[in-house]
Amino acid sequence: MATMMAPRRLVDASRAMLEYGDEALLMGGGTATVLMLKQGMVNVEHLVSLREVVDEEFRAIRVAEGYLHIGAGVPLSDVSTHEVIRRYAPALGAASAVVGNIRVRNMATLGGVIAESDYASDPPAVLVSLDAECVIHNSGETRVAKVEDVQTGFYETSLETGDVIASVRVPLGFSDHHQAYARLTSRTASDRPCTGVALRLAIDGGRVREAAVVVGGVAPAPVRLPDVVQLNGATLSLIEPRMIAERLVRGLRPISDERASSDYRRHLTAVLIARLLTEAKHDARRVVR
Amino acid sequence: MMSDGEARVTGALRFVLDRTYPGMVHAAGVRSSRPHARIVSVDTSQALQYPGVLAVLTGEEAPERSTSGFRFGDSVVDQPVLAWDVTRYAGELVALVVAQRQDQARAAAQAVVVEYEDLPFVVDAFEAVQPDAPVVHEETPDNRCGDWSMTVGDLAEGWRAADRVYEADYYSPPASHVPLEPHVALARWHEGSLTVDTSTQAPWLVASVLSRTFALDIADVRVVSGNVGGAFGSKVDATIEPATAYAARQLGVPVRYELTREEVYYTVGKHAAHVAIRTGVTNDGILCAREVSVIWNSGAYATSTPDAAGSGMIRSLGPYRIPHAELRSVAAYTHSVPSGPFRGAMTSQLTWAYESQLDDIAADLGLSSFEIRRRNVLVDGDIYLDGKPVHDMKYLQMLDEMESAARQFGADAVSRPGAVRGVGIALMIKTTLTPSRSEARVVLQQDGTADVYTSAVEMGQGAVRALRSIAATELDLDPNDVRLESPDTAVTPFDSMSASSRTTFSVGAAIADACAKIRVERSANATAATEAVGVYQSHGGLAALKDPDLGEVTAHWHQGGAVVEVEIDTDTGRPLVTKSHAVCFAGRVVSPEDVRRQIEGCVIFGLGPALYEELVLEDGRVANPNFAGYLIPSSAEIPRTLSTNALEGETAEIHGIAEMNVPVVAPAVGNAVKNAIGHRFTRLPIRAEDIYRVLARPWPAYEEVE
Repeated sequence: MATMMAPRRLVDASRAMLEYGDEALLMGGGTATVLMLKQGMVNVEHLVSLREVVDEEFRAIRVAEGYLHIGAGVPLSDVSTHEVIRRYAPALGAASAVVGNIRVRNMATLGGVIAESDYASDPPAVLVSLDAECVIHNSGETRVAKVEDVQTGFYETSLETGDVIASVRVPLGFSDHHQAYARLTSRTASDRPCTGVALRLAIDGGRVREAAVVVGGVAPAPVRLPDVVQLNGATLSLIEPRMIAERLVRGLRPISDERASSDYRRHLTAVLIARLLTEAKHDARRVVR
Repeated sequence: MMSDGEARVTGALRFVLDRTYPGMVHAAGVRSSRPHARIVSVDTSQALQYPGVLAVLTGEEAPERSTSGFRFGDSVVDQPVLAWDVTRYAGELVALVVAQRQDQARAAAQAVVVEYEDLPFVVDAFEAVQPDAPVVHEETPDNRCGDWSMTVGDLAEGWRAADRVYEADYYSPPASHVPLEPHVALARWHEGSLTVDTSTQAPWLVASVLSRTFALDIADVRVVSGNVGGAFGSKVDATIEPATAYAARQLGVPVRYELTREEVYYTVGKHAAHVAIRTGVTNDGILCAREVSVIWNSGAYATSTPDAAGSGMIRSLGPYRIPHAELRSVAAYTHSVPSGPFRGAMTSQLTWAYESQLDDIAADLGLSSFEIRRRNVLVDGDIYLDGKPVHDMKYLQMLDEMESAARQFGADAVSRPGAVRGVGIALMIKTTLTPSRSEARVVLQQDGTADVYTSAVEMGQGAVRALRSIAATELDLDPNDVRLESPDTAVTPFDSMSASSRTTFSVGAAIADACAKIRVERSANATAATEAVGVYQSHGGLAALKDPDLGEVTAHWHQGGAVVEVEIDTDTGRPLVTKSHAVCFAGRVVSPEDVRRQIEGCVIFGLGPALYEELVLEDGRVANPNFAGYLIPSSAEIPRTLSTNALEGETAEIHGIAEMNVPVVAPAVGNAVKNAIGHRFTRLPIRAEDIYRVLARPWPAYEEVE
């Protein structure tokens, strides 16, 4: 049975992790950690819980210096409902709202979701589509890394011993972009996503200036679809969503698991992209009117 | 009178899981990782060093092995309390670690090292009955632990009368009951007598199994049940009680053993079944011959499967007038999780076959699903497979009601463009547990209140409210003035089990019998406290097929039907049951609100095996023993229209209603899917990806790209 400590400062959590090394596990809301412990997937001597951390940076949601800052300790239920997030990063709110159930969302934290790096998770694809970055503390030092550079594989991250994600920041420049997230489950609605698509479109005068499509749930980490540059310059009202969607997923080689085979996943991803693009067209029309 | 629903969902209700014994210690299971292997050694040395650990018990060291055999079972005493020498399925209990605390026991259980030597295994029942299949039990070299057959009429004559013959195979995979409360047992010994508190539907059955396992007089075994947090058949047979009792005796202290969620999946599952069905029909759609061959997967141990396979045989003809039939029902041992009754036991697998095939026959003959059934369903006076006339048959009424419900489903818009819909129906017939016995002791107090002692188990089905209501009606009391004692074999009299939709019917009959006696006594002396024992007893069952003098094959026939609307997203293949109407025959409704909830619960429960649930075996091991891998319906899957009706009969006795609308869901959904997309699925569950592959409808844009 592991011992548990709950420091009040990020720096103390970081130092404890440095002291214990591989014998300890850092825990955010605990929704993933507890499952892993129960299933015997991890076996550690110490748990360092972030539940009691009081650092403002770890808890706050605020806008400053060109970024939306979200404390890594903010639970997903707050991410999904907070007015400021809804205004500046609505897709992140949408993706957080469909994670697990309300009991899970009340416990799971945004930083925990990134650090767990579970491929079948909703928020990471949106974070990548918004060029989100992690502000990482390690023993008093601070550095910044893009979410897509932090999540490197199946339950793998580039985080090093002593690293604690303090906050996540999203450039404000995307807040007037069209943002959306949608997911499909292949079994019940409470299943984890079989595929999830984050779409971001910068639209000027009815034309797409810049586009990002990021797919989650289909690979060890979120996948940016590179062919999305083809959308740049396109007149939104004239695009053929299905045709574009099919093109975008052509290079995608999804994993196969109990939820879906690879080619079914690719197809579902195309369906989602097409639906999101169709929605974007309708939204644009509404805006023009 | 309030139901316990609010207490149940808010957590205020105390379950067996919440019980403690003073001075108790905790057990944790060490489970086999191999489907079939010789157990070369069990190294307990490391585990014994763990904090709090008191003992690690293995089958190898059990003293009973030379006396009672250290095995238990209901029909066949074949299941080791703890495996030794050989393990017959992945997930089998190989050792028990006992420690001061549960977390200590569970941690130490990880440190028990078992060395195996793999043996050939078979997990599919059809393969298990082939000549060269690996043998599960040496005593049963053909792997058949049950083998039943019966002939109705003269099948050759039936084929001669048929204009057309249809033949198909259907498969239902293993599934899990997923009770929210895991199995839990607490055992203690006092001067050679044993007390076990356990989350069971059948305290008297468990007491009987324990008395045989430990060579005790039944009077020296006390089994206490209570509020059970869901069971659905998974808590009928003895499971962990023998191992827990063994640990308590070896250590000389009370022991509690609570299964982890993962272990629940390894303890008991639904019978997987292959059903081959051949049906002869005239050009007018009259069924004239049917041949059914079922192979049930018993898993590694027999539990109640041998007789259950016989019950399955009787239920395999369907609710139809078919004069000529041959029915065969085989239960096969395999190297997989032992199977037990699964809400509407040994029926869902059959309805999946005969109701799917009947719709295909109807389509081929150009008849509607309703019409072909109207021409063939049992009506009062028809001679059924037991050679006796049936009565209280409500199928025609059900069909009318289902057809009118289907019309009312209406033509509201599909939820997204391109979605398609289909409507499907299904009927079912089922025997109830026969023979069976229920006893009740009723005490009418001088203050005008009553105490009722029965061994009925409340597991959320509403038994307490229904039984109190029956006693109140019989004694002309307010239901709030009737107390119902919790099941405890030291206090409450015999009852076969709370299963097979029999509790309200048979325990209710025993209560009514006792109350009638009290009324007689009270007519003589209006003020005395009086007490009476009532009995319900049915005779017959499978034995009555051969010797009708023994009684009835079933106390009565359970009847149910459902019509569902399924919407399929043709882009993704995702199916969703959007509307349903379910109907069953209740004989007489005791508690209308509970009846409605039970029927709704049946439909929701039935959606699981229809669309989502399968215990996946990979290399003989359960690959999805958790909620993330084994998905049960959630609130998002509940049909938006979910209507129910329980039919009554003026002179009918009470019929249970807890299962009748489970077996109809999968075939109704399958028939609706067929009507929506034109494809017949013969294997459950019907998954979104399978539907998508059938549609194989490339988007128009696919070809144009480039």
